[in-house]
Amino acid sequence: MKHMEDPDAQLMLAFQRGDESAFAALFEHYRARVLNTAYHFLGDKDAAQDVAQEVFVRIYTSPKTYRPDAAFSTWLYRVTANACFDEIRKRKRSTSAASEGLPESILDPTALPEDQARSNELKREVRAAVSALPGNQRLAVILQRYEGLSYQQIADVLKASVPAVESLLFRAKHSLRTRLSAYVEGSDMVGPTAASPEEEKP
Amino acid sequence: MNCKAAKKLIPALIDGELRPEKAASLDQHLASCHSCRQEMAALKRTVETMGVCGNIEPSFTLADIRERAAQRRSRDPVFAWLQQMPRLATAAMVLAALTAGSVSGVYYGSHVGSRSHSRGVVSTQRVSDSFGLDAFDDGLAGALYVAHAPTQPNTEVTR
Repeated sequence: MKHMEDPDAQLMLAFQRGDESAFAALFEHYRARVLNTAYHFLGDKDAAQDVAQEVFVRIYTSPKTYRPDAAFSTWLYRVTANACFDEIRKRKRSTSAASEGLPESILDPTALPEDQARSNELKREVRAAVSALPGNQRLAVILQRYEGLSYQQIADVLKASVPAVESLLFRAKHSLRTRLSAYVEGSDMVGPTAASPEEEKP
Repeated sequence: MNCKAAKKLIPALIDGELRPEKAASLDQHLASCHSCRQEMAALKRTVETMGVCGNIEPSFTLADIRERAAQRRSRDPVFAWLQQMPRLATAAMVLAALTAGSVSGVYYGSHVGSRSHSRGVVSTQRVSDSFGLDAFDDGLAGALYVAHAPTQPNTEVTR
């Protein structure tokens, strides 16, 4: 049990033994992180609030599913990711959902000051670009960019290797760069992979 | 290092995840490659732009979690009971069930064609299905079956 020195693992083990205050401590520490991971993944505030609650309900009702062979945070991010993927699947089954990760609707942009309308549009485009990524790329870029996890930590969450995470992030950021090129200020994009012949290094 | 290899490493360099020797090699390439420097600048701006999507505040409390958990348990009492059972007690019941199952299986198995055999021993899979358990819970299902099994063998069995 290599993560026994992890204080959050200790709290979770205490909760498994019936210490409710341990769960309360974990809840306060991770509530915002779980919520915002779900928010950036789903692009929907209400769905994120619901999914985040679901994550903690799952932990509260099934504490024995945690084993200290992984850091508690690693396991928590996995539970969060699974809940997000469950939400995506639920949306796909639902007749009312048009697609996964729809950006939130906003007020009529023409009624807003120009700066705010532009800001809202940019947020919408970023959310749509992230939502358009395949599941594992989306998760990897969210954990790296918004949660600040290292490549090794992301690899632990995904049960993948670090080179695999590097590959996921390379593809994800390349896709985002292409999709957001019109919105990135001062952009003077060259082609995604081409270099000028005289500069190509053998 | 060529441009193809360099472009693959640029995201990791931006994220501070490259080993020193690889970072040094990439820096050397970037110093003389305008195209890759542009690629790096574009990726940096993209990463910065992603920051426009800030965080949101939680609207739920610990009390909400407890309430939802209580509602879930009240909708599914078997689930609640199974979740509360300590692992050790489960293991003990499984062991007892397997032992009892072996004994009763030997006893009933030695009487093929007898009336008791026609009643037969209910399989743990059938018990699992009736309790809505997955296959890995068959040990527990066996324990549940034993708890509901007849306490005495059929005395009409012929030897």
